Amino acid sequence: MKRVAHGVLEQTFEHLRRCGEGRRECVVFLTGPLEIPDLIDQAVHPSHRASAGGYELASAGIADISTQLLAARRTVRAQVHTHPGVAYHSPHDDEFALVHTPGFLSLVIPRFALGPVGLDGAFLAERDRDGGWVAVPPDERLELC
Amino acid sequence: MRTHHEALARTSLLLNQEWFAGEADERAIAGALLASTVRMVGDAESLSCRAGQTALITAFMLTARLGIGIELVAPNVRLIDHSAPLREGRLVDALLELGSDLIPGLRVRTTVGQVDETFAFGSAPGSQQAVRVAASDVGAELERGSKSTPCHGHLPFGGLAAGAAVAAVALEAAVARIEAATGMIARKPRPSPGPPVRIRLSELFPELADGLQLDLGSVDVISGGAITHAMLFCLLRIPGVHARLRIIEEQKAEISNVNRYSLLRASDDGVDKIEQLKSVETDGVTVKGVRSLFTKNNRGTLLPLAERVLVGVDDVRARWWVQEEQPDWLAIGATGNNLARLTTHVAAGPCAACTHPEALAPGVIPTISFVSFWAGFLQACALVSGSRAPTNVFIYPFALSGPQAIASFAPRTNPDCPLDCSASAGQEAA
Repeated sequence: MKRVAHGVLEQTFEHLRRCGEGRRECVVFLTGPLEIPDLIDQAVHPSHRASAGGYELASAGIADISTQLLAARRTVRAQVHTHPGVAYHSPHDDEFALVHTPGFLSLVIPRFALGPVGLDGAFLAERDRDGGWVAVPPDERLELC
Repeated sequence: MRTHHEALARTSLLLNQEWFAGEADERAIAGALLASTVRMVGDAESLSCRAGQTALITAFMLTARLGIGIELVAPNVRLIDHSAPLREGRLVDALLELGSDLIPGLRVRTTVGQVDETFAFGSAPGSQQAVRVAASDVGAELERGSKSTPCHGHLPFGGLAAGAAVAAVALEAAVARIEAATGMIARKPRPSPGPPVRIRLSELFPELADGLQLDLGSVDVISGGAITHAMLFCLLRIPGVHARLRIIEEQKAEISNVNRYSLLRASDDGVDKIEQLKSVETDGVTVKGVRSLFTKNNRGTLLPLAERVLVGVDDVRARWWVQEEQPDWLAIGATGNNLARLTTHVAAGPCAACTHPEALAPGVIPTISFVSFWAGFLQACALVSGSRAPTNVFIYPFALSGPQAIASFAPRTNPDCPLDCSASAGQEAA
């Protein structure tokens, strides 16, 4: 179980709504300190291109964020992105998740995150030991503080 | 001699991309589809109303175009709508005849045998494991179990939706066979097409229940492809519709189109698409074909456009070129691998380029029957609803049992609109 610090989900939705503008997908990384493996306490909005049908992370943006996180002894614990409608993991989502470590979480938020802040209708996938994904109930992996 | 591999090439490509990361043998996928069979059972009462009959016809047509065999257990009732692609006067006769002219090697039978899934329409008998299919004027429900609900309705909308939902469930029933044939496991987790499925089209188009606009006048249709086929398949089944369609298309039909073109038959291979579409017109819905492409350079020869314009082209730039001619009402049907979309546009609102701002890279586009169908079906619904309110609807036909599988938004202006339309300029000024 990962603890999501107070306000982080609100920040995440704010990024997703402001950038996606209700007409294109958006992506946010949830990060935490290396020393506290179960904590998520920041939302980072990476550089990306997006349309109503998908998003693409910019390589330079990923490199910048990685450098900054390393310097601050932090890491990405989950990737969050939006869909126009139903939340699920598409082949693109499988392939282009940032982290390949078992236990990495990928959260999909429906309706361009225009609905209430929360995990209702959200889809959560977790990297398994084989590098694949398993669907897990969001409230079994994410504790909102 | 054309083969099922050729006919199912786009379907196999899509399933390979969606389920096997592009690493499966697509001939094996096509072979497994052809080796699969579903049973469709219907009762006389449900199949004698337009909602129920349309549900079975649509389910049959879309499932058959997947290459999946169909065991038909239904009374041979009189056909309500004598519309393409059906040619016979009675339901079972018409479906058997159609099934003989779709995917080469497709198996359609009326004798009972082993099946991968059973769909019981209306009050038809079925086991606890059968998928119950109920259709009404504007609603559709699929539920597994023994509780039956008769189909009832004189409008086709619920039946069209039910049929499209059935095809996606039928495909899911073929997964085990496809996995065995390819030697690969389909990716998980993946969304569920149902059951259960509950569709209320009146939530998207309230006018469908309150009063249809049946006299549509002149309508221009850009493309004679899969989305236009689906739109016309639906329009031909709406009682009392009158429309004069001008369809602009320059290509010939190919066997690889049969996987998704709702009105096309295998025997139409090589025929001009506009000639084939002309052949399905009725007294109420007439078709004038124009052998041409709507491009930036030659559009002048195709003007003026009608007040209502439907666009079903893959080329996003063509959507912009049509928008530049400022039709009073523009409806764009579009698809992705697992997504069907409708956007409508009126003067001073967000334009087609606001909502479709990025051109697609050229290449062979994966397609599948029920996704293309939804895009054209939505166009038909929007057309006869008569609504001028701009819409932006997303439907996930592979995920119909999930929340938000049908999502509707108000279109947004785009400050980066490629056409710098007046609505986007107004937003920038604000």
